[in-house]
This record gives sequence, C-alpha cells and structure tokens, in this order.
Amino acid sequence: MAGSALKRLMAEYKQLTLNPPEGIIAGPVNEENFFEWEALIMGPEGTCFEGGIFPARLTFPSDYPLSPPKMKFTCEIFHPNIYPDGRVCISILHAPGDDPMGYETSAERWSPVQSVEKILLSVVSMLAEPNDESAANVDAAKTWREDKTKFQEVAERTVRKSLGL
Amino acid sequence: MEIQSLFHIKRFPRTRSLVNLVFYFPIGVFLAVVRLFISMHVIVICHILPHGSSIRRFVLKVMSGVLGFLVTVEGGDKLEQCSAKVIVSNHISIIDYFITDLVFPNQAPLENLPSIFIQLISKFKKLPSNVNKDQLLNEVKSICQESPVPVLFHPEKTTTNGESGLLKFNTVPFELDHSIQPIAVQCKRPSYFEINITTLESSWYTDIFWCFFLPCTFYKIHILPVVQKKEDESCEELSERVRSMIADTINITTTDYTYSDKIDYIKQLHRTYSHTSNTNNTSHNNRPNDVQTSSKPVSSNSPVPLSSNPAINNMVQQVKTVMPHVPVQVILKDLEKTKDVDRTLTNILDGIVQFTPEEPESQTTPTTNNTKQQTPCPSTQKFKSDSFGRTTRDRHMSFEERKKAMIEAARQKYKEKHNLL
Repeated sequence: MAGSALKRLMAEYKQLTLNPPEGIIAGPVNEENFFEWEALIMGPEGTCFEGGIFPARLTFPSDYPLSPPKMKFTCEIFHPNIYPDGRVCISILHAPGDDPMGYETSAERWSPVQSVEKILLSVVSMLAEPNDESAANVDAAKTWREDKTKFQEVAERTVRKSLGL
Repeated sequence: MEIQSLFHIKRFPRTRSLVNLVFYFPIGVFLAVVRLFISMHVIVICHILPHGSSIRRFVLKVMSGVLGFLVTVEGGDKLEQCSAKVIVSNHISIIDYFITDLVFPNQAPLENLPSIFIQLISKFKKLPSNVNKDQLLNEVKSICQESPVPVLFHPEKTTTNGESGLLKFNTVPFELDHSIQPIAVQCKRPSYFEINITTLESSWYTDIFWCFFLPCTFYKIHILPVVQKKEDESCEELSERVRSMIADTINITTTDYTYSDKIDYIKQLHRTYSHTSNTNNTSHNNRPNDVQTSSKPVSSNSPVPLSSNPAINNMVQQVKTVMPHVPVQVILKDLEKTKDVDRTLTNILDGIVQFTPEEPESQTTPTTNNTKQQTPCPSTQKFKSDSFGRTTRDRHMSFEERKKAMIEAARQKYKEKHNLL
C-alpha cells in the first residue's frame, strides 16, 4: 500500500511543481520521508489575509489516498476554522464516516479523487470566507461574527508576522 | 564514463561476426542440440552428488568443458585456506552462478530467483521480497549462519559487460562478516566468434543457447586475497575497498552508476526506440499514437469500454484511484500489456505512456459544486518550475528556491502597498 501512496504523492508533487495553482507551493520537506510535506499558502487577495504567506505541514497516512492527510499551520493564525494549535478543520480533510461536527454532507469530504491541490485550494477559500458555524477557534469565530474591524486588525498582524516584517 | 559503455546492447558487435556464423551454422546447431542433452545430465549430476564434494566438482568441471565452458582459475592456491563465509563477485552473465559454484561451492541468496534451468544447476536461497532493509539483513545473516558453504553475492545486483566498469556495490554483504572473499570473473570468446555473452535485455535461454551453439566460452576466475574489515572502517568504505580491488584485478574502473541507473537506461532506450519507430511510422510499435487518439477528453464521461477480463477491470480501478487524472482507456491499454498495477503506474509516472489529462469526475468535490466555496483567486503569481528534477537534490533545490521567491515577492508587495520602503 505504501508503494502506491508514494507513487501517487510523487505524481502530485510533480503536478504541483510544474503547474501549481496561484499562490500555492507544496512539496515534501525532505524526500527521505515523502509522507511529510510543507506548503506555503498566500493569503487571497481582497480578504483580510491578503499578502500573507502562511506555512503549513501536511502529514500523509501510509494508506493515502484512501485516508486524508492531516494539515497544520506552523505559523500563528487567528481564524475561526483553525484550532489555536494550527490544525485545520475543513470538511475535505475528514474521511466520510467520521463527522466531528455532524453536519457535513459526505460529498464535501475526503475521497481518493481529491488531491493535495484541492485541499490547499479549499484552505485558500476557507481563509477568504471563514465558516463560523463550525468553529475550531471559538474566540476567532466570535470576533469574526461580532467585531469585524478587530478581526481585521488581528489578521493584519498575522500577515505582517508571517512575512517577518 | 558513459553508461552505455558498461553494457552490450547488441549481441553482434560487428557484422563480420555474423558473416563468420554463416559458415559455422551447421556445426553450431549440431553442437547446441548435443549439448542440450548433455546439460540434462549435468542437472541430474548436480542433484545426485552431494553439494560441495570434490567428486561433484570434478565431474561437473569435465562436463562443463563439454558444454563449452572452459574455466581457468587464477590464485587457486588461496582456495584451500579460505575461511571466509561471504564471497563477493562482479556479475557478467547468468551463468556466473554455475561457474563460480564449480570453483567455489556456494549458495546465493536472491530476492528474485533466476530461471528454473539456472536454479537446477546451482544453489539458491530465496529471500523474502517486500521487507525492509533490517529484516532483509537478518534473513541474510541467518542464511549465512546456517549455510555449510560460503554465500555468494553479486553486490552490483545486475550484470555488466565486465569490460569497462563496475557499478556501485550494495552494502548488505559487507555488513555480514568481517572477512570477505572477493573474486573477479571475466569471460571471453574466441576472436573468430565475436558474440557477446549477454546483452542489456537478453533472456537467459538466448544467453545459454549462444553458449551451447559456439565452440567454447572462456571463463577466468581470479581469486583475490581475503579482505579483513578494519576496526574503524564502515561498511561503505569496506565495499569501496573490495570494489576497487576487483576492478583493478580485471583492469576496469569503478563507476558511480548504480543498479537503478541501468534500469533507467533501459527505459530510456525503450523510449527513444518507440519514439523513432513512431516517427518513421513503419514499425509494429505505435502505441503512443493509439493512445492519443483514444484519449480525447470527450470520451471521459461516455461509457467506458472496459476489458472483458474482470481482473483487469479491477486493476484499472486501482490505478484510477491513485491517478484520477489519467483517462481509463489509457490505463486499460497499458494494463493489457503489463498486467501489473505497479508497472503501469511507473509507466505513467515516467511518461512512457502519453495521455491528455482529464478532469476527474468532480461533481462531488467541494471546491467545484459549491459556489460559496469557489476559489476567490488567491493572488496573481504562480511559482512554478519549468522542469521536474530527476534527482532528489534537484527537486529539493527547486522547491527551496520557489519558496524563497514566493516569500520575497510577497514581502516586496506588502512593502509597496504599505509604503514601508
């Protein structure tokens, strides 16, 4: 099984190297372990995360693509769908069957036809439009709902921090 | 040194040798038939006489002479006092196992056993495949301890022509014991019959046929002094030391190529071959043409013409799961040839199979069916690489560079926007 996982990851790495979506870079941290990837995601334009570069780690299971990878931001990011420790909570990262929030339709969940690229694009959409119904970070969700200007300020700070400025 | 000089690609290096064969042909056919029957006897003798006994060695030596293998041993006086359990040798043909066994009764642990004929005339131990290096090492160690005769390794893992260079050695045999017996094998044919003993892709029966067909094949085995591992020497250093000893003995060089380079080289040859045959439009192998016509994106949603064989359908499904962007027809076509999921995957990844990528049936994916989640065009820059490096290093460098470029660009943009310059 690990063999086909490796091949699939290699194919996705090639695809992401030669033709990446805009504002996204991803690849193995170190090719000795193909199951640990690093991704850089650029904050989408026209949102409060605009201009930031957010690094994240993707950890793939050995039965990938049957099971979804795990994704965790390695920088500080204040967002309703990202746990304070950086773990990302979006439907595409959940295998059908385990439904922690109890409201996702299985169509939105992980399946082997998904890919790293789709995950990262979903994360970009998530950055653009937080979903405060399924809050991973309650604080952030509350701020997002009730005090948009404050949320923007915090986001602006994370953007600056992510650029090291 | 170029990799092609390490292998023979053609059986007949010169057309002259082919012309010579015309005159020899009737004798050759006669010899080959007679020797085929004698080889049956060799198999019987191999099995009735105890392995390692001197009578067996003597009888087999005589019979191998009749079969056309004339073996000379250099440094045979070291043979009697040899106590090493591990023999390491270069590898030039499939018959090496038999020839080395004549001089040095041994058994060879192998992951993939050779053909049945070779198995019948020499001793092998099957190693489990699909295990990691530690398990493999333990397995080999236990074989070494149990075996009454020394254990033979070809650390190059594959054959070379033995005329220009040695491939890099696998270090497994060097981790087994402190004393290693290196031997060097050389092979020659009379100059009138300049026919290579083995070629890059020849099969065992053609190799053996030519041995039987031609009057004789000279094998020379050099027995080198036993090498002792030094106190502070690592396995890699030891393997390098043994490698250069063997190379020096037969006057060739050590190269940086490995077993996988040979595999890549074979693939590359195939690719150029199928490419040229395609452009000439004459050959039997016009696979890429077929594939391109059959993989028009339109067909992706139409009912798929699957194979009548359910096992193949199953394999198509497996490949499709791993690579959703490859059209089913293309997978099917290649699977019908390879009958192996892993090989088809490799073919697709290596670009041997060409196709037009299709969108996976994405009606169910969250990014496309949900307008709310439609990608809001993250930024205007793509950080792509023009090529996908062939080595780990290249790819990693390109990855690091692109990361740097992206961060730099973002910083620049941010500074401009906020007038921080």
